[in-house]
Amino acid sequence: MDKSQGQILLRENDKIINEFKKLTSVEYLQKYGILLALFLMCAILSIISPHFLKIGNIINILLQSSINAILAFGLTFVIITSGIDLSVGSILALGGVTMGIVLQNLSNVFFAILLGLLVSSLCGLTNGLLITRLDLPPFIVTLGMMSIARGFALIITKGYPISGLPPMVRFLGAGKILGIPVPVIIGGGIYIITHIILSQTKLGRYAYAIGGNEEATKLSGVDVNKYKIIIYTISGIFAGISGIVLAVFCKRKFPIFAKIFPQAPVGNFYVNLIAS
Amino acid sequence: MDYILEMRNISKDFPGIRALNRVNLYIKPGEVHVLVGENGAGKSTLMKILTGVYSKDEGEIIFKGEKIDIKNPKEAQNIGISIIYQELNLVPQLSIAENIFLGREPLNGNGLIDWKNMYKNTEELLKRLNLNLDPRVKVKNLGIAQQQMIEIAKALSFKSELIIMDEPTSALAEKEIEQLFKVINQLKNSGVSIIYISHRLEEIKKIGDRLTVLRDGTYIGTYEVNSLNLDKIIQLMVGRKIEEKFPKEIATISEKVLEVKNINRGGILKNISFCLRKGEVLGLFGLMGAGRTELARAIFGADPIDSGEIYINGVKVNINSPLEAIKHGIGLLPEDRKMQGLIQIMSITSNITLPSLNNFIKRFFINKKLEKCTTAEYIKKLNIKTPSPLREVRYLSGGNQQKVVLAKWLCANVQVLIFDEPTRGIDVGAKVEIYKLINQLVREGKAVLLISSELPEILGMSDRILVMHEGEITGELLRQDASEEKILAYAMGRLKKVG
Ligand SMILES: Nc1ncnc2c1ncn2[C@@H]1O[C@H](COP(=O)(O)OP(=O)(O)OP(=O)(O)O)[C@@H](O)[C@H]1O
Ligand SMILES: [Mg+2]
Repeated sequence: MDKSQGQILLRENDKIINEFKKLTSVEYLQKYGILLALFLMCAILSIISPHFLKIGNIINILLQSSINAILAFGLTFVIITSGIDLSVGSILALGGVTMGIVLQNLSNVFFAILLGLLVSSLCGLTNGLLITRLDLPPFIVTLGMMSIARGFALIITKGYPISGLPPMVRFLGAGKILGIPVPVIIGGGIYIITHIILSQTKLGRYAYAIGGNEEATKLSGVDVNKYKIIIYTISGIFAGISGIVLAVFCKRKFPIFAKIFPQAPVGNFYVNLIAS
Repeated sequence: MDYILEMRNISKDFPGIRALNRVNLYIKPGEVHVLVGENGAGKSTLMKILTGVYSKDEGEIIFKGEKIDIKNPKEAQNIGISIIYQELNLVPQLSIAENIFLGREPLNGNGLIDWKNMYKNTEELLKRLNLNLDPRVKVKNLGIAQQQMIEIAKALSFKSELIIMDEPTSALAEKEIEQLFKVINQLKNSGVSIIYISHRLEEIKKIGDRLTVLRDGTYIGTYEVNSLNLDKIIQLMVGRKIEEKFPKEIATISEKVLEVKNINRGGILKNISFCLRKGEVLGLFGLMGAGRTELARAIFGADPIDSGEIYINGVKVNINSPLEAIKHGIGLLPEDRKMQGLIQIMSITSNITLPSLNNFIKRFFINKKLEKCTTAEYIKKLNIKTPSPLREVRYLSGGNQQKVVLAKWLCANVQVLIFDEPTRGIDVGAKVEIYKLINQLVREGKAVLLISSELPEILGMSDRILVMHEGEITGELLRQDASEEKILAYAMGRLKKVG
């Protein structure tokens, strides 16, 4: 390949790309509409209430949305492949509860978190395996997993709240670094990881390809099933992470989770934010 | 009224590209008006402006003496203009009848869908096209040619005064084309005008009355078809003379690279055996339903086989998926680019590098610069008309999309290339480019299995020709022994090689 010629071509192309990046107003609205709505909402709220734009309040909002956000980041992968994962809410509960139970009995924080993540990733993996190996629709499989995971969460807690977590783990939910709550930092970190995977790696590229045209992707030699399994597993892991954060964030009353998150919050906003 | 339709000075800009620049089109009542031009000349864009898919930037449209401004395809239908789009637009999950009457289902007295009526109407339409299909069959179970015929049936069902056909025959075989031409002649006799777009130039002489030529978005002229010969038409289209339509070069043919033995698949493929050598172009001809695409897919691991063996470079291999086929150096350019060849919402770059993405990975990350450079090269080499390698494939003209699929396999650097109808929807000039590319590939020692429904292409480009009939290989001919008659005799099962 003649590199220098490629370079010249590219430079010419870049000029044109810049030109066609100028979107028409309609396209602009389609792409950034949701973000615009958010800003509009913020603007109105800050006029209505003088407390809205205070740093404390903003941090509070971020804190409260960080758990939803982590969940939605995992879901983003699934939705890009034009699948759906209804079970994230329940996996969240199971992940959190598993960690809590282990902590109560062993008080080894590291091991507890690991086990919580392991259980949630197993749920995701099972989703992926059923969807690909048995060729079942994601909607059905993850709907089933929603009940199963929630059921397990209730069984292992016997329906009682878990209490008495060591302070070390409470730091994860309630601690702050430089004034920023730890859950927000975890959420931010996961956002960055998600963004990098989706825009810079093979996995991300394949996810978009599968969502765009699964048949053509398969015929291009991509092991579609393998990547789908990975993606549902990621969704499970992310749900587990948010479960753990939520568990320590709430300090007690775990079984409620299964009721707080009965359905997957299909976080359209997050999806848009990452995909654009 | 001299003209049923006048399109004057139509211009259209897309970001980075001027698709049409003051183009004229005048259509008389009851004529077949052929619209020709290279890939990306603006033919489809002009038609989409006429039917309200795109808005025009400049110019005026006069239909039946009245100035009109069509805002959407529905409006076009209402005033009597219907169109068969270049790319198929059927809903695979729905039946033939449901597709044809989508959005205007006949209702009975109770406001429910009148299925009986719908099926009856559909049956009549299908009969008119000489199609023996059940209106209840789901479209996804039909082959691409049959789907194309359904699109045609749908366009006929509107009873329009002007029917636009954007490359209706690119997926059809002789028999269906004949039937389509019969219908076109009937329509013409009943006063319907037809705008006909095709890259099969021999068709122009057969059914065209007048002809308009576009080149690079500009209007070249309108002519009586009888006043031009084929060479002249080509010259008007591409702006230069094309010396040779099939610039075949014979490469050195050496050892066997692919050999298949006794492949069987549920009555579709029967005991298929053949070999392909380095440096060879092996043509594979057959009529519709002969099983050529099925054979290609079986070798490529896209469909399972019941029995049979595949050898690569003399070693027996197991191919159960396209991934394994590609690992063994086999690439397949599928017959249906929209459904199987491309990911419409991804960029040209991402499409081209999809099968070979591993070559662009550096420590987990995609090397986007290398990716862009490489694709820029292919864009130049294949003359793909686009303002940028990052443009989404769906914005390209049909022929340019096909070139992207080709580039994908060139970039994957495989040793055996199976081309299933590689020049479908590609203009004369670009066809020659693709033939030259095939020459270059075999010169580099690669092997090409060329599946085509166009006899001249098979005859012009193959070193050896296989002919299939109802799932069997009925004939094998060397380049120098082949003729249209012989190939057709094998293809129709009238002749069968012994042994
Ligand atoms: N929606 C769109 N957005 C941007 N560019 C477009 C769009 N549609 C078409 N184009 C560009 O306009 C030009 C004309 O395209 P058009 O589809 O009309 O070509 P065509 O003559 O039908 O070619 P073909 O024979 O390959 O079908 C091409 O360069 C194409 O890339
Ligand atoms: Mg076109």
